[in-house]
This record gives sequence, structure tokens and C-alpha cells, in this order.
Amino acid sequence: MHGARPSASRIELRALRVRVARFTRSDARLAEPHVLELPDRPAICTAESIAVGTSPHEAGAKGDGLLLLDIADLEPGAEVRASVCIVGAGAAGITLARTLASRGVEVALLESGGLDPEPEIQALHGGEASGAAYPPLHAMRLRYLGGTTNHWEGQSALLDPEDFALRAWVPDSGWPIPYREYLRYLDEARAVCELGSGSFDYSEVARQRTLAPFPPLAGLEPVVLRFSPPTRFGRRYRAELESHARIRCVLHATCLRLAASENGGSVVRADAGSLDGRRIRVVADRYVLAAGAIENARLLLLSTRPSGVALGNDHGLVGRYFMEHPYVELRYTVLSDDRTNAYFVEPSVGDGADRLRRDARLVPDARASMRILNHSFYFARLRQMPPNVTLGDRLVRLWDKARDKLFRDEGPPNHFVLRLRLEHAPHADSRVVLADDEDAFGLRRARVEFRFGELERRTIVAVQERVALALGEAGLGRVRLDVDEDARGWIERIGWQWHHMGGTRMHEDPRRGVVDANARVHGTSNLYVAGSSIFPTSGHANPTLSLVALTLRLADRLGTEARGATA
Amino acid sequence: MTRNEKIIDRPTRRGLLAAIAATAAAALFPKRAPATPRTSVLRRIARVGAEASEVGARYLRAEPTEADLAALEAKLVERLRAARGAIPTRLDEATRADFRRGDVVVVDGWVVSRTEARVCAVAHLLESGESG
Repeated sequence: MHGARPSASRIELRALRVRVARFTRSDARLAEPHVLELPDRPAICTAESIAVGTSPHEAGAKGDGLLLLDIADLEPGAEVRASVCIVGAGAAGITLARTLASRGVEVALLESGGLDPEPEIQALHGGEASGAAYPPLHAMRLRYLGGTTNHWEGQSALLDPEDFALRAWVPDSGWPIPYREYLRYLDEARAVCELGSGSFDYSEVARQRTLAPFPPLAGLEPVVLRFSPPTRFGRRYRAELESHARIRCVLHATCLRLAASENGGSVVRADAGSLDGRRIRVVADRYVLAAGAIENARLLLLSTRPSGVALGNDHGLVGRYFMEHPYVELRYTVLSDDRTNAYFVEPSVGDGADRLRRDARLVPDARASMRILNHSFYFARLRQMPPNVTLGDRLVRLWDKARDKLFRDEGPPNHFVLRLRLEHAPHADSRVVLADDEDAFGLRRARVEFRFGELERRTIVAVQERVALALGEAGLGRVRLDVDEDARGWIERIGWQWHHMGGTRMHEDPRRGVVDANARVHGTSNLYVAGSSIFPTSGHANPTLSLVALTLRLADRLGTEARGATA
Repeated sequence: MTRNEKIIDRPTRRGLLAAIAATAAAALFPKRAPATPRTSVLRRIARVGAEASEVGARYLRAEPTEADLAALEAKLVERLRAARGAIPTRLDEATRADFRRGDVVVVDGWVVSRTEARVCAVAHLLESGESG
């Protein structure tokens, strides 16, 4: 095994009780899980620390271990053993690894990329999309430590009770866990996402910060979005990943497939590889896919059991119910100069941890009575007065309470775009499938097939009309209808939030969901899924905060299981 | 009967209605370019009257049964009577009530209260002499 490296020396790490280890892209290699192989070149090696490579690094380590590795540090074909193998070091994977390790669970964390973006790694995310114009898949998700949090804006909102409820007018709605179960993990998730403790209740926020109250608009309510710094999970938690004795994070280790047992009821190992042909295997008691909604579904579809059926796909549900957050920009709304409109005219207020955006939506009763989806919107001011749409402006000025301004000659454009973000209803045919094209590993790429229906269309029309009536009734503005009753063509003008949800949806019934209420893949004993791919419905909220909360819940479950197994 | 109710009563109603339409139209369509103070208001009203008339014309094309000045007068007066205060306040209130009831029309894509649309229609009918 070591014939090619005759002059290398081997060090038993546990014997050294090392405090710090950073071997990323160095010449050091792990010959065995706790055996370091050093080449015949200078290296620092003391009882307190080990540092190799061109940029020796010491972090505040707590115990012994060899923790942030590159696949090149491992012997080809090496077998890494752990209690839990996590695929993907993004928000979910890192949160799960940190939480499990803090509870004494040995974790192997596989990350497809390294510490920085690399085009050839990023290209592994390439794929196709149909059903709607969609940006290139490879640009949407990031493959390096921290995952997609590396371009996260930090915008955060809460899922709502109705997102968890069974809504008669939304087929396949309802979560198998109660809303309070989500709330239980929210404070901890906020801490992980560095969101501070500010309220999401606007009346409370307005009182504390002496902000304008929500305008008196019939049937509408405020929605508060808060902002993480944003937390780049890779950077923020890297030192912990490097130093924690129970986390072994392997970079440039792309999970290629999960190997199932003979009867297909469990996973026996995860095969991983690098683009330069290195291969390793991870053998664990439990496996967790935390690679993003598209990749989670793709990995399951690529992981066929001896029977030929992919893991979790006994009922053909893997990849189905894939959801995004589409938005449409409805032109135009004119808002009066009345100070009551301050909430809308300046939707973003504060900065840093105090930054928030003020959105609005129809109240729950209206959403139910109109049988529409969850949503939120805000008004974005146009920089220039649009041509030939001045009637609304005149109407607003007529009824403006500041009548002395009616004849003023100049003023800022008071035309706005109503930017409406929609819940994407769960459609079985909105799905991730395997395309014919293959990636650099020879594995079939993903294709996303988007589907939308009557619910999305109805929501757009209803919000537009309700806002028009509410602003008119309050004397605060006028709305120009931008989509007609048919709303045909709205899909052509759709924008995207780049939020990926569903594909491995959660449901107690294996015929209706890929994972159960504990995020365990139906039909398997030791395979779990973390991240927004388990969301049965998408709500309107940015998913990161919520997926972190649900990952913390999964950590509770896995931690208990792992400790039970050890005992 | 209050003073404000009196001024929109029968004998003077038509003239006042025209004044309301002109005032509303002037407010609806002020000229934005700078002008000398005294002449500018008159010019504005003259110009914006045409714009209001155009909106009124569009409304009447969509709802031709409304192209009856006498009937429009009666309907507007009825709505303004239901409100209180000075004429601008009554217009404001009547407009809000329209939105509250959902009594709106779509003109050039804009969701407009019935009262607003009728004011513009009156402006059009008075200017064009098509009715009444």
C-alpha cells in the first residue's frame, strides 16, 4: 500500500493527542483513520499540535483528532468509519454534524467541493429544467464548504401554522408534525443562523423601534423578514469542524451513491470520489443526505437497490413535489404621499442585526375564503416614471390628504411594482428526474420539471385585486391590473427565489411521502434526509432558517438513536 | 338639511356638478411643467379637462348605458349625499365606500372607483355635448 511512498513516516495520532490538525491539500495523508502518513519533507510535529502544508494553521482545538481532510489526504480506497455519515456540508449538513458531535456522536461529513468554489466541481450541479424558464442549475447551488449559504442573502422568515395544516383547497398539503414541533427548535436555529432575538411580530417591532404602524388596510396583514449577517456556514463553523474530535470532514469527496444491503432495507456504505479518480467509502450506522433538494433526490435515484428500485422510491415518489418560490412583478401601484404609507414606501429599515423588510399579505381568513396559496409581497419603487400609465398617479393625488401638493410640478415617481412571492403548491408532477446527460463521474444529471396550476394563478389574481380594493378604500393608492382574470402567460414572466424544496417530501404514509415524520426514508432502517427537500409544502418563507430548525430536530432523533446503540 | 346638502340640490346641481368635475379633473390631471401662477391654473384646467374627458370617454365606451348626463348626475348626487362634509371630503368618502363595496371599474388597466369614473364621464359629456 505504501510502496509508492517509501520514505513516508507514519504517526499514530491518538498516541500524540494532537490538538490541531489541518491537512487540507497538503502532502499529509491518512493511511488509516487515526494514522497520519507524512511524506519525507519538513513538517511540524509536537505533542501539542501538528501542522503541515503551506499554511500551517492552529485553531482553538479541544481534543485530539484529524478533522478537516481532503480526499487526497486519504489512502485510495480508504474506508472511513463513523456513527453517522452526512452527505453535504451546507447549512443542514454542518448543523447536523456540529450538533451530533456535541452529543458525543462520531460523524463523517462528506463535502463535494473544497474550501473555495471550483468550476469543475460546480459543474457537477449542471442539469436541465423544463416547464418554465429557469436559470442554470449549476449556478444555483454551491459545492464547497458551507454549500449554498456561500451566496445566501440571509433573508429569513417563519413558516406559518397554515403551512403545516391540511388545507382542503390545497391537495397534498399538511405536514406530519405539528407546528409547535417546528417552533420548539426555532430559537436554537436562530442562534445557528445568527439572527438575533428580534421579533417577527410587526406590532411588537414597531413599538420597540418606533416605526410606522402597518397601514389600516382591510384584509391585509404585515409580514416581517429578518436578516442573518448572512452566516456563511463554512467560514463561520470551519474552526469547529477542524477542531472537533468527533467530526471528520472530508473535502472533495463527492458522494456517488449509497450502497444498499441485500434486502434493500438499509444502507451499508456511501461511495465517494474526487474528479481525479480517488475513491473512498464511508461505513456508518446511519446515513443522512443533506446535499440540497435536487441533489438529495438525484442521489436517491442513483442509488438503486439489488431489486433495481432506487432507495426510497418504492412508490415512485422520489423527486416529486419539487417546489420553488416563484415571484411575479405586477406593474403598477401608485402610493400616496401620506405618511401612513411609510411601511410600504420604505420596506427595508435598519441594518446589521436590526435590518428587516416589511412585507404584507392577505390575512389567513381571506386566504382560506378565497382558496389561495400563502404568499407575501412588497412594493419596489420605480426609479423612473413609467410612460403612459399616469392615471393612477392623478387619482392618488386627487385624494391625497396633502391637497396643497396637488398642483406641485415635480416630485419623485410614486409608481411601484408589487413584487409578489408565491407559495408553490405541491404538484406531484413538479419533479426532479434523472436526465440522459452524464456528469464528470459518468452519473446521470438532474432534470427539473416544473409544474404550476390553478392555485398559483388564482393567488396572483386575488392578491392583485384585493390590494387594489384595500389601497383604494384606505385612500392610500391605486393599482393597475397587470394580469387579467385568466392570468395567462404569468409563467413566462416568472422570477425565482432560488429556493429548492420538496423532492423527498415528508409523510407518514409511504405511498404519499419519501421520508417519515422523523425524516427517515421509508423502507430503510438507517437512511435519513435533512434539508428543505423534506418540506411537504413550501409556504412563502425563505427556507434556510426552517431547514436548520428541522435539522436540529433530526439531530435530537439521531443523537438519541446513536447513544442508544452505543449503550 | 345641511348647507352642503343644499348646494348639490336641484336648482344648482348641474352647475355645481360641472364645477366638481372640473375641480376633480384639475386635480386628477395637473400639468407638471412650470408655468406662471395666474394663467397656469386656467390653462391646466383647460388641458386636463381634455384628459379627464378621455378617461370618461373610455369609461363610457366600456359602460355605454352610463352615457346619460342626467342619470349620471342623479347617481353622483346620491353618492355624495350619503357622505358628509365639504365636497372634496364627500368625493373622498364616496370613493372609499366604492372600494369597500367593490364597486369599481377598470379604466386603462387601473382599478378606479365608480364615483371617480363617473366624475370623468361627466367631464366628457359636458365637453363633448354628447348628452344632456
